[in-house]
Amino acid sequence: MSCSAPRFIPLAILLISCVIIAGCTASASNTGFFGKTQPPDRNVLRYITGDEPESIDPHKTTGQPETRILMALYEGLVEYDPKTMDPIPAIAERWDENNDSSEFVFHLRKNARWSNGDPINANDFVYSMRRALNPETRARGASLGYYIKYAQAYNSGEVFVHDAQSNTFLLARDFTPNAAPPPLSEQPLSGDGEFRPNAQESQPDRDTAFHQLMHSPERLTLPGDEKARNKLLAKDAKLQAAVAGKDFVRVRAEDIGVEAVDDSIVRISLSQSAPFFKGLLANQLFRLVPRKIVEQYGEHWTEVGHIVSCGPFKLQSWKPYDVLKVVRDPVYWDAANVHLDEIDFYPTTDLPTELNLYKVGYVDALGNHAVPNAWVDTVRVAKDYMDAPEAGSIYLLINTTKPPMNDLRVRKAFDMAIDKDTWVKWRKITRPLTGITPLGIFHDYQLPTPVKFDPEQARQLLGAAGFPVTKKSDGSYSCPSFPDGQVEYMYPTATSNKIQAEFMQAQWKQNLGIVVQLRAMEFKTFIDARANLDYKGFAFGGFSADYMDPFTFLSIFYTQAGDNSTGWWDQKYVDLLDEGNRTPDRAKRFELLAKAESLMMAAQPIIPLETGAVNWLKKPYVKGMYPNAGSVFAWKDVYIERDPAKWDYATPDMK
Amino acid sequence: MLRFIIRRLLITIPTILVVITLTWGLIRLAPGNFYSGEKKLPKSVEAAIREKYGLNQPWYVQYAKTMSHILRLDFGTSLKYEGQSVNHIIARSLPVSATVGLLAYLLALAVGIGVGCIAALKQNSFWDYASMTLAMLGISIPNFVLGPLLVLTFSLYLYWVPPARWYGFFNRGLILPVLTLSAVYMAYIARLTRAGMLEVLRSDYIRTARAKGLSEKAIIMRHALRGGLMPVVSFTGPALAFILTGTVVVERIFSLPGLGNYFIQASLNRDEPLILGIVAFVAMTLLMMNLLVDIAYGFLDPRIRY
Amino acid sequence: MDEREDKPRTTEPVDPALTSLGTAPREPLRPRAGDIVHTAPEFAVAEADVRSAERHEFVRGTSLWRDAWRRLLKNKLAVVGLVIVALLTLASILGPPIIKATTGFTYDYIPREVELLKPFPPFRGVDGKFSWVHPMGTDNSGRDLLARVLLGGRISLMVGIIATLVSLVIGISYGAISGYLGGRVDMLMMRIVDVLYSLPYIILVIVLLAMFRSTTPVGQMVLLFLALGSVSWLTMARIVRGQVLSLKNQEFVLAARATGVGTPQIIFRHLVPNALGPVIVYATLTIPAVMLQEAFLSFLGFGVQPPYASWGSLAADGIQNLAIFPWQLIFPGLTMALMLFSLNFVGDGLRDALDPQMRKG
Repeated sequence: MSCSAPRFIPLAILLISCVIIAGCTASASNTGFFGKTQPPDRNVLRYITGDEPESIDPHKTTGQPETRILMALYEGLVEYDPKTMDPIPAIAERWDENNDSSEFVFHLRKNARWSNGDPINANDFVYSMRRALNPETRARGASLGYYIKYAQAYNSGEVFVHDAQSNTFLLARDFTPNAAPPPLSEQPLSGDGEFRPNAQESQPDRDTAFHQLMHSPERLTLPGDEKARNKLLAKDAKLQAAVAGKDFVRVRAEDIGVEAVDDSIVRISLSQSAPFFKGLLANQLFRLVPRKIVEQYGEHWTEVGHIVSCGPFKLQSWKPYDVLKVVRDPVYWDAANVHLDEIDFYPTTDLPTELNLYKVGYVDALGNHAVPNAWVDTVRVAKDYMDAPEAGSIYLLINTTKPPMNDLRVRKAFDMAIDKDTWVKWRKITRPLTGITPLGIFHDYQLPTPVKFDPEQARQLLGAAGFPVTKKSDGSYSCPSFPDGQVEYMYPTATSNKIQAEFMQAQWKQNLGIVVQLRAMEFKTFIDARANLDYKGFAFGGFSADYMDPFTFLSIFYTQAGDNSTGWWDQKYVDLLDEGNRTPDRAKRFELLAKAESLMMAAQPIIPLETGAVNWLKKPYVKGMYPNAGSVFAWKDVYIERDPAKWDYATPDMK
Repeated sequence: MLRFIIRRLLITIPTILVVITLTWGLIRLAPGNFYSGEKKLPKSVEAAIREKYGLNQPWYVQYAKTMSHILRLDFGTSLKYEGQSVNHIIARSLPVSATVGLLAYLLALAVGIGVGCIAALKQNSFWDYASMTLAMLGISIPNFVLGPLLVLTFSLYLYWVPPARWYGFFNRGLILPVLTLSAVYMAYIARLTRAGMLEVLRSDYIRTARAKGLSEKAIIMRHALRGGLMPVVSFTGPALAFILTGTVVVERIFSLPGLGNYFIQASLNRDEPLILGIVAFVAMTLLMMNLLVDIAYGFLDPRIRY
Repeated sequence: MDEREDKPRTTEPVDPALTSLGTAPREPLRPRAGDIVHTAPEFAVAEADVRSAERHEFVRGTSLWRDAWRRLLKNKLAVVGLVIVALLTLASILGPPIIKATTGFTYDYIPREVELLKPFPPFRGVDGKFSWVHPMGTDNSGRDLLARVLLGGRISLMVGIIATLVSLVIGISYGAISGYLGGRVDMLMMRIVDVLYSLPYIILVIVLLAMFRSTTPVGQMVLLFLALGSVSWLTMARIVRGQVLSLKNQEFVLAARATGVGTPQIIFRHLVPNALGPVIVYATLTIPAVMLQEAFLSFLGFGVQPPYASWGSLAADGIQNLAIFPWQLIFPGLTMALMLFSLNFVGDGLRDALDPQMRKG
């Protein structure tokens, strides 16, 4: 194609310059909102919830994206309050708890129904709990139910030890040295006064055989697997002798501490004091599933056409990776107060696409953490941006079992050498963290005093521990005697984690002269390594609340296992926590918990970094959705406001 | 003609099998496998998985099993999307890719041929230069730049169309993906048409037609187009196949649930059944398209004898 | 009347549609079934060029390089294209060191100060005031975009050239051997090419790159070279074969054979150099096509890995922030478009220049 006159070069240049100019001027929204604000024609909420849900069986999943969908489809005895996430009545109208919060009685309402019209009664709850804790169900969140008596034994497939001749079972207290005093739920019934002064008059019938059983001392349980059991017995001669000649009886579903006293009363017996338990009951593990349907269809009971639900909405269709639609359930007991006709749940693809869809008005609200950090400055000026403290903490775990980190001074030094204020400022939306409990969530809870940023003191501490820090001629520091190879920072692969890791590394290098190696790992590998204490120095840690009580965070260090991953454990800490849980007075209880947390922080098994933040967007015409600390919503309160005068022109008031 | 078709069909089947074998070999040769990331599975779980998928058998046995299934058009179930058969996934995602692809190519044909003809007829005029500039731009601007630019203008600034996702078959959500996809083909077709038409318009038989006094329009329609469009026709074969089977980039940009997107996901997840299914499908489509094009070529050019 | 070289009129009909030059073909035209060349659309080579190269009609055009060069220079578009390509290449090679010396930015430099860890629009500094520091702005981590775009240029060019070289080497050898040996070997080799042609190559490349993810970025790039190069050799082989077929009966070949020159030497020292004309044209048009392929693959995440960046991966990053920081896409995208634009013009110009029978268009 030979053309001698390049007449079209100017044309091309003109086009390209237009594009460049357009690109350099970022768009500003003129109404103060991020994008178009026009309510949809129908009474439908379009919401991007998160990753594609693995399942809509409430017992099978634990993720936040699934939780939101499950909260539309199913209810439990209680529900999360939209603003505070405290428990509010759902299928249960009211409840009583005993004096040390180890036994609860729930009175169910009589007009609750399944979506197929069947009435809901107490037996449905008992069935659901038994199914949730059934080891064959493989419920991932089953450990949340372990507060219920024998729930852990049942879920782990353990066995009782039964003496056929005397028809008795071996008791746990005989084989556990220094056992704590049993909770009231295990002590013989005391008659009256056991329940709080303001308990309702209709006291549950105390003479059921099952209730008697619950109020007897706890039975001993051993692992169901023979090899594991024999290993345990080999370690304890007394146990082995006691076990000889006895049968092993599997813990059955009927043994766990949930009872339907009658059609509308449920009694739950716990194995320890747990005042937070009623808040825990809003978790999806405790939501009701329909017995008939589950037994009939097995794995396929959640498919369209089979599924029966008990929540304000019922499933209409589910196209994987496309959209999951729920429509209002007219049979729901509170259907009169459900405002939306339909909710469309979209799975996330990637954040920028979500934000684009939101901007152009094809989505009405976005899931949590919708705004990438780089966008925050631009987006937060928009009035539809929600930003509030999250019930989640981010911190560094320290492996206290290996030197040099086994020296408290070294741990404290590393904590003091990080300028957390700068970090939080850069992160823009997160807030500081002083212990393990997040800031700004529990308003009457005393958080531990923060460790101040004091690099000079940090260097002195290091010197005292045997690793003197010297100042070089160019002003930087070096610590030659510090065993660099023994310390690294391990984190799961993700861009945000990498940036955080690099910040830590830079701070320590700058203030202590120590270069800590960074190690990124694939998430599941990371979790395994951390749980096995297979790391040197520091590991990334993050925790989100399971229920709205400081104990959910403090329980991390209740045992050595699981999320603890530091090698630190202290009986005094556990004792303080147990005592706190037995205390009915909220203020006194919080005092004890706070004392425990201060004790823990004095031992410095973690370096607290920041309190998470919920940040997401919702259109101003969407009302009833609040930026609560867990970012989950009771959908029946959500509605679309068509009168612009009543829209939300800022973050809605959370009081 | 018939013999030609039969011969081609006979070659097609071994070709597809070669493709599938190559792909299968690549997947198996690669280090690692689908059920592990970097994490170490407990031995029992790993053993159970290997048993379930027959991974402990010698490779030729596994190959034979896979091929025997495939020959019966049974590609199995996806390893990542639990419970969904590969055939089902392809059947569900094909209409999405096909719609976008077909519309894109039709648009490209319409605009490209039109522009190319005008450019050839008005050679060296402003229209010629302008359209060839645009064509050159169309070829040079990659679709992953053009697409977002279009999204930026028409969706994020003007709010006329959605920026992503699939909204159905007759929906303005199709406009941007189709435009993005067709731009490059529009450009090629315009250039090809122009070149082809220029050739033809200079030839003797057109001169004869002109001498005979036929109107310009009749000349073009009846005589010139046939010859001039040859390059376009032969270009159509592979182009359509590539469009249809999910120009992956466009589906990525617009989050469309088409074949291309599934293919990328499957490759990243090492989802062997899905990869094999899509590869087989694409190879088949491509070969069929080539065959159709060659047949069409035969019709268009009377001198070609099969 | 257009200028056309005088050719004796033969009794056979001239087939204008099959020759790009309007010249009479040297053999009677009876195309065999299956001769249709299906070029993948990603390659800018026109159908006609390839087939005419196969039909060895380009032979005449390779004679005088200087003539061709002169003709090329007369083509203003091609000259502009050449200039732009040269400028961009120079910028890619020299730019990063210059930038590093003046402002201290490299493609992977993340600033220390927290206020700088954000995306700056072009020519703006902190506080939004005008500043020369970042002519193209920065990406989300505060890395200078200009440095990254220039690095992208380096990498894209490198991939383009090396992959083209790979395909050249394979294609020339294969085609020359096939054409010279002729007969059944030739038929077999070309059938293989036909089969390979009909494979959906991009799919295989994606599978290859996804399965064999190299652990180092350098390893990934080597994989890329091989993968991309192994695709474009097919057409190259066809072209070279066509040329060799027409050349092998020339006197100089017979003379070489008579004096006992070995076959490989005949192929590589005598035939190939004479067949280079269309090869050069095709190679020049392959480079932008390969660069585009690499950009696609990097965009999808299979190509260049961090810390390196190519235009494709920069575009992928840029799209992430399209709604509020559009310059992160626009600059890499347009730079790439500019480069491809120019390369295409140069290729077109080369093709026209190397063809002596070109009429003024």
